[in-house]
Amino acid sequence: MQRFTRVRGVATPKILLSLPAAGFAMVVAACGAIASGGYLGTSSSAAGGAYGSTTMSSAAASPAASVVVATTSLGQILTDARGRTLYLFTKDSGNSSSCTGACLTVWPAFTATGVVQAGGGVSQGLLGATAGSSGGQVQVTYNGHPLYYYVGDNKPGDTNGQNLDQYGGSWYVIDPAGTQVGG
Amino acid sequence: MIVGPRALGILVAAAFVIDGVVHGTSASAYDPAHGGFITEGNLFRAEALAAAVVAILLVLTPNRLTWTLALAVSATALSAVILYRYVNVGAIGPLPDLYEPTWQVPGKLLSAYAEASAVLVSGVVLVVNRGRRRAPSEPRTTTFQENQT
Repeated sequence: MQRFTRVRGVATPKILLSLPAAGFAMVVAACGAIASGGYLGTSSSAAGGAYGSTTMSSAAASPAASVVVATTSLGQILTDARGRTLYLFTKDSGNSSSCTGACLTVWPAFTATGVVQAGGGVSQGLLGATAGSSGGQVQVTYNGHPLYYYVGDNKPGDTNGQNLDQYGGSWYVIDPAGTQVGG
Repeated sequence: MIVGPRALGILVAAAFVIDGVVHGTSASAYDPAHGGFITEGNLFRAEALAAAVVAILLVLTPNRLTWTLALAVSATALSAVILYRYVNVGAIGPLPDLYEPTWQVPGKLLSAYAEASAVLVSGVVLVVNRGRRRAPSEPRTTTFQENQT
């Protein structure tokens, strides 16, 4: 089998000439990811990559959710029981969430199906819930702000979503008094 | 002068279309509430526009300049998405902070695949045809397209 061909008098391995086709195969494979409900999907499970094997979606729907205070580089902020940072969205009006569709994939709502427990330093009276737009589940609120995770936070203590401008508003961590930190 | 089969130009153009659509449809999500000109949303729109232009050029005139442009646009975009996925560079002058430590954003990984494919194919096409201009007096032997069998 001839393993070389000539391009303008230069011997060129045939395998090199086949690379463009291989490259395009990557595009085809990526398109397959769409067809299988991959990256363009808006299901909450898309957020599951954060925090290792524990999916964000299952954690967000924890029946015994609790809010605690953690000390980070931004000061004292609210997190869930596992230390995952919670955020407020400045576009939200009152306790109604305005994060829908792809926004919820990037900023999964912090939801609960039971009574939300207030950890030390957290005011039980400021905790509340709103039906919001998170697929019918009750979204936890604090001081009237619906609470969210950020899919870019990969471990407890991460605050990578702080001060991001996305989906028409800004995102901030929230302190125990119920106000945004920074901004 | 056509460098590389026209079919490859069309296929890479398809990759740029994917990249452009993802950036174009995602741009509004990155518009800051306070507005501005050099914003992440407008950078997304610029990338979408560049991808569209390169896609059209690859279909209409797949010459060396077009392939070089394709490599430059795709390599720049791919470098940026990988850099800001893993490194918190922060704001650089007028350039906003583009740090986003996740692949979970809808379309992000897909566009990165498309950009990587464009980089690979464009690079190979340019490498395979790198000697064309150096030997203009050299008698023509075969074209890249004719060597596909």
